[in-house]
Amino acid sequence: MGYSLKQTNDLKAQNAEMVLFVRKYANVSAAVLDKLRRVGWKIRIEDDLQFDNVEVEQIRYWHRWNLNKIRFWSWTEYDQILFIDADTLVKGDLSEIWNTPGSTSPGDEKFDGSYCSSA
Amino acid sequence: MRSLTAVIAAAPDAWDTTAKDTQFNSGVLLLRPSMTEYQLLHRAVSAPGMHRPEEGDQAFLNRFYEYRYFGLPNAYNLNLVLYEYFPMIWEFLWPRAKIVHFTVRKPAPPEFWCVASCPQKGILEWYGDVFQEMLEEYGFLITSFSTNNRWLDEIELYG
Repeated sequence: MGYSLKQTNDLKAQNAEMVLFVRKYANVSAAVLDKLRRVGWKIRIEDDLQFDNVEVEQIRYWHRWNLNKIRFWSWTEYDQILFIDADTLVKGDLSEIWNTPGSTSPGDEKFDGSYCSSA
Repeated sequence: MRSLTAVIAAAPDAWDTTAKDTQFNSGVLLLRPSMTEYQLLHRAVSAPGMHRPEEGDQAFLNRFYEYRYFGLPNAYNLNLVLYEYFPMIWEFLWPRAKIVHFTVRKPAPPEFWCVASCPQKGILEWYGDVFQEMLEEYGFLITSFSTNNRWLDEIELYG
């Protein structure tokens, strides 16, 4: 996915970067993480979020860990985040997305945006 | 338009029975980070009626943002389910597509893609072409596709 994003988008012109959220307990090997970095991902390894009254074992297995997605709202170093599932390919230019109604003005210090996926 | 406050933006979900659901698919989400919003979301997951035990994020987010999310065009989340069940819509959207979402059949080692054939064979072959191009560009060369594990060892997260 990250490769296709880089091939179809000028990240520098968009002032954006690619960030991959990796669950700490997914135990992704160092060798794989290294390859992902070489493709261009900035890796963020974080603990699973915990929620009162939620038993993760009861969640359907294919989206058992997806509530972790809520963490992206806490990544306030970015003005905007475009989260994209890992089971995708990017096929076209996404630069217009940053101008979706309600978007903020380009920041001076912060990144305008971040393409983010999870594993 | 600047005065609108779109809390999030997402494209419609699709199923074998509908090409354009009233719910959004949370596989592509534009959001604006905010600790206030984060804390609201975190608390809301635990609130009565907001999260059902078997559900993931999508049902919850559709409930939380009902009536106040900005709709993205389907091209931002072209759902693979359309390929088999709504081929004319797929053909219309394909040249416009910006993100293709492998929902009903996940990218997998060649042995599992479509051994003989499957409804999504053409699109999976496109995925395979892009994947192979990446392997070659970064030198993640695979000498043989003879074992599934070997393929996964090379780049288990599909780069």
